[in-house]
Amino acid sequence: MIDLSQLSVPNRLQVTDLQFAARELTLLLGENGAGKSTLLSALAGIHVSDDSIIHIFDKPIQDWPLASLATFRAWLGQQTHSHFSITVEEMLSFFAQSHHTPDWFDWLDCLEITAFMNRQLDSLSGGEFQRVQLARVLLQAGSAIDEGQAIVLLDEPLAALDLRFQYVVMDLLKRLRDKGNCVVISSHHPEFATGYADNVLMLKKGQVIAQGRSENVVCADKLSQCYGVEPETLARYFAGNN
Amino acid sequence: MKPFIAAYCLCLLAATFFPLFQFGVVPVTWHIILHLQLPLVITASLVGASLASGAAALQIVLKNPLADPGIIGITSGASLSAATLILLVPSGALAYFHYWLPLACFAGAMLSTLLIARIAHKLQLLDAAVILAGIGISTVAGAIVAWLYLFSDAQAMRNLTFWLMGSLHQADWWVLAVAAPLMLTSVIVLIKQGRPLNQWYLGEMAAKSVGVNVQRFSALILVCVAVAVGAAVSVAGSVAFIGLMVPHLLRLKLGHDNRLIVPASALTGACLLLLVVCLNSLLTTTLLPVSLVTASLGGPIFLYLLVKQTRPRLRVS
Repeated sequence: MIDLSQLSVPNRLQVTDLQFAARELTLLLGENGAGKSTLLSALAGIHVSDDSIIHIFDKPIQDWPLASLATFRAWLGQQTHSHFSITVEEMLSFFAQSHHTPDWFDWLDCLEITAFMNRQLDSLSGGEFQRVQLARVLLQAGSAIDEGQAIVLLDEPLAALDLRFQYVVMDLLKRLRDKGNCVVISSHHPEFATGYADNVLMLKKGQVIAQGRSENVVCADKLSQCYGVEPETLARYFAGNN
Repeated sequence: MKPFIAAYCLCLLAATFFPLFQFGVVPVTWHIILHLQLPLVITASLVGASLASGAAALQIVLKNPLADPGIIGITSGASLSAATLILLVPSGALAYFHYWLPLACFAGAMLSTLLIARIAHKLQLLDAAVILAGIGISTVAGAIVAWLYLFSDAQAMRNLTFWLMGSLHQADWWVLAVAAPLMLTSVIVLIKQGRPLNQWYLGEMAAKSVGVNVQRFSALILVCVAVAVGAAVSVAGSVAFIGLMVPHLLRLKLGHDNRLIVPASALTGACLLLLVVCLNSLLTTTLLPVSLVTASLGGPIFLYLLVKQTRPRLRVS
C-alpha cells in the first residue's frame, strides 16, 4: 500500500526503503523527537517535500489530490484542539463521510463515546478527547476502512488513555487490520508489540535503527539502544508487566 | 433557515415601504421609495450581510471567537483613508467628493489587508500573525488619524466623527453599482464555504487531513472578507459590533454548523441594519449614526444572552 523509497526532512528524519503493506499493523517506537510524528505526517501527505519518493497504491504521493487521499487515509496528529465550544456530535458530523454503515456505530460504541455526544469538547478529559479524536479520523475514512482498503496512520493513539482503553483501542486497530487495512501507529508502549503489531520500526534521531517482525525487534537490547534506558531497568519493567 | 429568510423579508418590506406610512400613497412617496429608500435598504442589507458573514468566517479561520474585521485592520485602513480625505482635502476642492470617499476607503481597506497578509506571510503564522499585524496596523492608523484631528477644522472633524460612527445614507445608485456586486459576490462565496469552515474548527492540520487546501482556502476567506468588509466600510463607514455580536449570538443559539451560521449571520446582520433604517425613518428630526444604534441595542442584548447562556462547566483534568 505504501512504498517509501526516500524521505528526508533536514535535522529531523532521514529514512529509505520502507514498505507498509495491507493487512499489517506496524508499530513505530522511538524516544521523543526521534521522528515518528514526522514520518507519519509525511506518509499521510500532510508534510511531504517535493524530493520525497513515497508511493501510495503505486502512485507518487505528490500526485494524489488531498481530497482523494482523505477518502481512504485516516490520519491522527497530536495537539489538536478547538477554540470554540463545539460538541462531540457536531465535531464528528463535520468530519464524517455522509454514507454511514453499522460498523461506524460499533466503533463509537467500542470507544464508549455515545454517552457524551452532547458534551462540549473543552469539557472532556484528556482520555475522552483522545477517544473522540480516534472516532473522528475513523469516520472520516469510514467507507474505505469498512472495505479494508484504507491506510490508518495514528500518532500516539494511546496517549492519555487509561489501561482498559489502551487495550480497547489496540483491539479495535487489530480488527481494522484484519479487515485488510494498513495500520501504522506510533506509541511509547513497546509492550503492545507482542500480540498486536506485525512489524516494528525503531527510530532514533531520525534514523531507522531496527525494523522487522515484532518478535525479532522488541528485545531488551534494541529497546535499550532505542530509548537509552539501561537493560536492567527494561528487564524489571517487562518482569513487572508479566 | 426559513425563519431567518422570513424575518429578513419582513424587515426588507418594512424598511422599503416605510415612507408609505409616513406620507401616504401619493406620487411623491413612490419617488422617495425608488430614489432614496431602495438604495438605503440595499445598502443596509448588503453592509449588514457583509460584516456579519465576513466576521463569522474570519472567526473560524483565525481560530478566535472574538475576531471581527476590525481586528485584522480592514476597518482602520479604510478609516485612515477617510480621515485623510475628509480632514485634509476641503470638500469643495475635489469634484465628486461623494464618490471619491468610498473609493479611497476601499483602497485603504485593501491596502491594509495586503500589508497584513504580507507581514503574516513573512512570519509564516497565519492566525496569530494576522491578528498581531492587524493590531499593529490599527494602532498606527489610529495614531495618524489622531494627529490629523489636531490640525483640522471643526466642520471636518464633525464630518469624520459622523463617518467613523457609520451612516447608511451616503450610498446612492452610482456608488451601489460598484460596491453591491463586490459585497454580494463575496457574501455568496463565504456562504458556500460552510463545510471546509466546519473542518477548520480543529485547526489547519485537521482540515488539511480531510482534503482542504489550507493555504488556498485561508487566502480565499481573507480576500472575500477584505473585499466584502472593505466595500461595506466604503459605503457605510465604520459600523461597530455587528461583526462580533451576530455570529457569536447565533452560535450560542444554533450551534456551530457554518452551513447554517454563515448564511444566518448574513441575514441577521442585514435585518439589524434594516431595523436601523426603520428607526431612522421614525425619527424624522435627527439621523442616528449606525454604530450608535447597533452598539446601544446590541451591547446589552449580547451581555444578557452571554450571562444567560454561560453555565458553570466542570473542567475535568
